[in-house]
Amino acid sequence: MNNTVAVAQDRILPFEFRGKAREYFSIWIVNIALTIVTLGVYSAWAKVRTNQYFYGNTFLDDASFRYLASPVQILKGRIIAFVLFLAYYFSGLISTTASVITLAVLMLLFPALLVMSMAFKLRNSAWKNVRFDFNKDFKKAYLLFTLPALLVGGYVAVTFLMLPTSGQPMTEAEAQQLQNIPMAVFFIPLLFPILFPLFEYLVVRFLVSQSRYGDGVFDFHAGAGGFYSMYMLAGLVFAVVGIIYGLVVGGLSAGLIAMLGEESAAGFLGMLISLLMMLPLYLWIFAYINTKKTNLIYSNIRIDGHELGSELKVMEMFKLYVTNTLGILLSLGLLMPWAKVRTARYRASRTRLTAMDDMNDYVNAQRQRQSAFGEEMGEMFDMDLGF
Amino acid sequence: MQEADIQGLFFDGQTSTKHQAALFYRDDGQVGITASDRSPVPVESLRISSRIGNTPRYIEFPDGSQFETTDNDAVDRLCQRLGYRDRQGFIHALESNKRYVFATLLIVIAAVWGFVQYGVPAMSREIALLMPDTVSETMGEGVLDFLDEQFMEPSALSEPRQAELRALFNRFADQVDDGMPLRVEFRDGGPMAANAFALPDGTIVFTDQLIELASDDREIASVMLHEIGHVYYRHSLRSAIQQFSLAMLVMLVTGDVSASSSVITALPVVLVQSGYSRNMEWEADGFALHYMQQLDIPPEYFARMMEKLEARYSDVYADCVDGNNQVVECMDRAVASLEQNRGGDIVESYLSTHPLSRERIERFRQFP
Repeated sequence: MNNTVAVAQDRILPFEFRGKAREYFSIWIVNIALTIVTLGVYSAWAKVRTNQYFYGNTFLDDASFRYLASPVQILKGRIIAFVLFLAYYFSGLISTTASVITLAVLMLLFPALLVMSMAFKLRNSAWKNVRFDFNKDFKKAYLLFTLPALLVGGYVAVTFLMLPTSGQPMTEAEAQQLQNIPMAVFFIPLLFPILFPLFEYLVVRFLVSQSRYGDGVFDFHAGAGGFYSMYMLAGLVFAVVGIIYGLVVGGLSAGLIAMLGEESAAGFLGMLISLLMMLPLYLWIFAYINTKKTNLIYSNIRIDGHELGSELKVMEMFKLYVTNTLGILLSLGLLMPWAKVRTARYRASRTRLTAMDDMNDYVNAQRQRQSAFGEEMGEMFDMDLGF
Repeated sequence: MQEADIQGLFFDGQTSTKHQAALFYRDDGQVGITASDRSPVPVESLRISSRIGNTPRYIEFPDGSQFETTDNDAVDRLCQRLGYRDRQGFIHALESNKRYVFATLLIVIAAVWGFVQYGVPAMSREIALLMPDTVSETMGEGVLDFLDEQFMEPSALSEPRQAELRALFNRFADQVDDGMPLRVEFRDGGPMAANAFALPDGTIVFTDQLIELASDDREIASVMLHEIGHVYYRHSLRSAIQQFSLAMLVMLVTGDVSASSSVITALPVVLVQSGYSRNMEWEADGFALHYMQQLDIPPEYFARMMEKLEARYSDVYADCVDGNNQVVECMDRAVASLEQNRGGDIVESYLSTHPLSRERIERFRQFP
């Protein structure tokens, strides 16, 4: 029975989430009320309180995680990000050029914002009174994004600037210009699906390998293959299930129309029903990618030889998403805290750390204050990479 | 005199080593770790984290070491006994009292409802009127070109007929004192069928199919006034602002913009938006009604046009036109049959962008 003697002191430490839906509901609703009363200013405090609740309820080796960001810092970042977001949104209404410039500036800033956001998040997280850290390597971040930016940027530039824009017949000069473009350019879009898993893998590896716990360095030991097989399987399943689904749903709505006649109301009802029936498929794909990606990433993170592991099940995640969606829709949003808590509980229950020893010897690194600007910017423009 | 201990974990702040430990405090305000060689420190030098639900409390010592415990009540007793003031304590007091939570819930529901029902429409109206007209003009830029490319064909109406209708339109355009330059365009609607719509820059497009439906120019005039109403009230710009406000509200309430919540929030947002555009149709109707009365055009003409637009999609009309009958004749028959088949409207009324047509028609019929 006791065959652990041969192996060194390997200990499997499970993660555990102890939050309660009812308890979080109170925190959530008070957060919203105070945010409304203060016209949004309190949202920074609300964010900190929410994170503190979720971090604090996550236990590993009996010790909880702690979120340490200061609300004032977050508020400052939020104000800057909000002003920029407003500028971006309304510059689109005033002039197309202005919005293109804003977008270009944002894209240029993206790698830096990503690094700043990760640094803010990790440096404000702690476990056992030792903080996490993120090595801010801006150079590497920019190198990582150069090739995809060149590919996408080049393609956009070619299609929008060089091709004749109007529907009128081409002039001779325009035809000449078209001939000067190498044919290869037109195959660039085909490269996107081929290169995307590789790119995502490189980004994940970069983000993991720059992460620290105290003086312990994170390391990502998966290859790009896992990312490819994940997307290929998802695509295959989506195609097969999609076809079967299409046949069933199509048959059903045709039957419905035949039964009720082709009046607009019946047709509309049929459309609504088929749309509602597509929702599970959409949620399933979402659950599949999310589950596989989380497992892939977390099972391949090593911190000085201690191994993280994640074993989420697609079916369980799917059930969770379906019941969450239904619950939230039927309760007009009031079950959102319940959904969040049970998702966190499930995810924690499927995550573990295989520690080689007591993990006692991590030393606190030097602390520096981080600006919350990167993180808030990322949130405003929905740049979270799900890490 | 020593108080009862609080059990928990102690971390020295240098390494991640976990020590099972107990915290003690005395009435003279000294706090320390039992069975350690550290000397107790005064409570004022500590930082005790606020209570958040039942998450652990962290008691930070000046030297960077930290005591962590899940015994929240014991920490609360310590704070009370030694007079440690928790600056965010009132928030926990709010959260842990069922009556307060219920009251907050009511406040949130009322605030969200009020904002959606009154706040967003009123705000967008004010902001839209403040915005310079160049904003609307830029918004409309390229829209007509796009529609021409994708859906519509040049109008098949004869030049004199177009000139006639244009003259009619210009008479109204002059009547309405508005900064926006109004102009009318005619197109073969193609898949857009019988339709009329206003672009943000004041261009109003009529499809040939709609013109053909009318048996009297006063019917066309009534639709022109309705569309001018959309431009007059800057409805395109207002929609954009409303959309933005709703997105902000969703962000405020859900606290994130992540993908999982977007599926869930999309449906209510769509429903609310269709509610807004129904209100805008109603407003444009009011504009048309006002000017029709001023210009002595019987409101009945608008009601008739509405009925025709509705009847166009009925089986009666489709079957009749298939037999190559006269369009006008078929329309009369279809409109007549509408009166008997009103059942299907119920489902549509909830989701269509236009208010229940009958309601709109009756509004115009109330006036002689």
